[in-house]
Amino acid sequence: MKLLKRTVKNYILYSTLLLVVSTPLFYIAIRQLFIHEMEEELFHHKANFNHIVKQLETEKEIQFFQLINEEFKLSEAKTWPVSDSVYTYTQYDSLEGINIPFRALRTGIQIQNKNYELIIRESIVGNTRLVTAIVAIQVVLLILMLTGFVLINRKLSHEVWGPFYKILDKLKQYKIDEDTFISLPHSSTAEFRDLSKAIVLLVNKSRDAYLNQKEFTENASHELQTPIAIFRSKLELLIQTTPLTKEQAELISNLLDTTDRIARLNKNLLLLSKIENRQFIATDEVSVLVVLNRTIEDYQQLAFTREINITVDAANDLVIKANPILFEILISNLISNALRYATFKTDVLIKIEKETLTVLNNGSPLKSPEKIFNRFNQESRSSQGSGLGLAILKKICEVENFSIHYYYSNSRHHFQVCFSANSSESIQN
Amino acid sequence: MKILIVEDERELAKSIVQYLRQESYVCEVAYSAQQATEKIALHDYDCILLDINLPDGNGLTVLETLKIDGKADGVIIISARNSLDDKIKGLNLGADDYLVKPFHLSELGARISAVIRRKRFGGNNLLLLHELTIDLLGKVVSVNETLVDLTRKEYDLLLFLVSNKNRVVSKNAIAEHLSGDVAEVFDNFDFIYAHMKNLKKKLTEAGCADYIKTIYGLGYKFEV
Repeated sequence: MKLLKRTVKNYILYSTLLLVVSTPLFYIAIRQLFIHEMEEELFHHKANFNHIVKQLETEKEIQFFQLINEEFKLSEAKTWPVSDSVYTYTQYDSLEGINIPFRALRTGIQIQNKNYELIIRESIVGNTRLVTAIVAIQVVLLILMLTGFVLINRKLSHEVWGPFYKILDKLKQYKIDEDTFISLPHSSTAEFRDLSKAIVLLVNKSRDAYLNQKEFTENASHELQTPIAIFRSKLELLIQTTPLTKEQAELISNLLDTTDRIARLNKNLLLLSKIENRQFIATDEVSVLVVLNRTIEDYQQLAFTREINITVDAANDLVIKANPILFEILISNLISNALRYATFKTDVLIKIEKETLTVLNNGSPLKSPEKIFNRFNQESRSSQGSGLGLAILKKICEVENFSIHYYYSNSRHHFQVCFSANSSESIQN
Repeated sequence: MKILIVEDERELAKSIVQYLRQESYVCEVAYSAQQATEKIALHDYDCILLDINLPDGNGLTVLETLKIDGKADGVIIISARNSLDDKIKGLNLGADDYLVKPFHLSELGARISAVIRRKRFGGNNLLLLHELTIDLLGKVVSVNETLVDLTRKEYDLLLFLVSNKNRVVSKNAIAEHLSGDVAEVFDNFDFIYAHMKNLKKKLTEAGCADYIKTIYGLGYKFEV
């Protein structure tokens, strides 16, 4: 729910509640006031009447006065004295066909030493009319109020919340591995200034941590190179010694293999962090077919010993813009991966189509294909691999703005690289 | 032949000296840029191994001094950093080669012998070993003046073994040497066995003595 909606929703709820509660209160208060006023009026009438009645002398005059003043009703008092009392009653009005409420004052009066009972009445405005009027006014008020709220809020959300949305946009666009720092728009609102400060602080901290980690990987790998070199050199000297027994040779051979593995792992870690650190930037036009053929030649012997046939299906060559070194690594990793996991005596098929390169190899399906590009993913990792080949592949695609997809169909693993990242998002299964 | 090893890691320097001594090279070691500059001023070397990450400065400054003196010829840079910038800078300053740690000593041996051959023998690009002749420029091999038809990989393999003659070359070093620059090296050495089998067969058929000895499952040795 949007901020504006949420505020307005609460306002509407509150206003409606207020209306419901305030209408009866209003009604009671106004009515009370009204009745009070009316009583005063009645007593005023009484004083007036007393004054007039003194002028009346005969019974006839009194009857005539009564005829022209309906409000006054004079009758002979049955008891004396008559105490003042105010009460309400309704009377059917035949003219309008409704019951009309009246407020009346009953009092005693003496005219020419005769005791009379006097009732003075005043009609009260109908309850329903009063309620209707009040509700109508309230509703109009509510509508005016809400329209005002919405309009003011909208204006505020544009003006006051503007910087907030700008900050949000900047945050959404920020990429920790690409942008050096985050610049947030200045706001005159103290809260947003605080927010900006807090975000800049957080982003800088995260970036520092990220850079430290990147730097650490690269430095650690570099520092490892020399000890590995020393270790390997000693092993190479060891194999020059005589006499060398078969048993020793076997042990040293194992050590050399392990050293190779360490060296390879370290080399790949270093390569990965170098790609992440964008140390390969220069781009050039590269022919996919040329690189592909050269790389296949490098792997031909290996493919041959595994009785794997590498077939290239390309109608046309593809020339793309990329860093030549990264591109060679990309192709090499694709092919070596296919060869590594292809079943013996099968085909590795490489297809070049418009803007895409697909490498297919036979094999059993993966349990969790979504993790295939993760570093050191157990499933796609054999004892031979460093566990980084596909992670490097993915990283290169990221840096070069290619997109890479993995899918499995017809008992074949497909790795598809699309050289224009935006076009092929959908992959058939 | 005199070789200067500029390397601050003493154990690595020791290994290199020990390995190269078997090829009857005379080795001297400098552990810092300053020592290196002093030695270079006093002596002439056929080949200089230069680590560019030295405790008292970048090895590239040593190379600059060498270039000014016109002695940059025959320098092989060794570095823990496989940095393209350093490589280009080094080669532009006149270095002959660039080797990244951790290298195999036999790879280093091959590079050194290539540098020395080029420097010492100039136009003469023939490598003679009894009945075996290797034409380094034309990349052809002949036995008793009969051409042996070797594939590119077989030729590389032979030259690699000859460059490290009388020393055991591990199959691991061969695998890395024969693989392309970017090719992932597999733990699988079958392809070396295949190349080796073909090479030996072709040489023997041409009438060459069997100089290549197999050292258990460990590697090979070209013995003359």
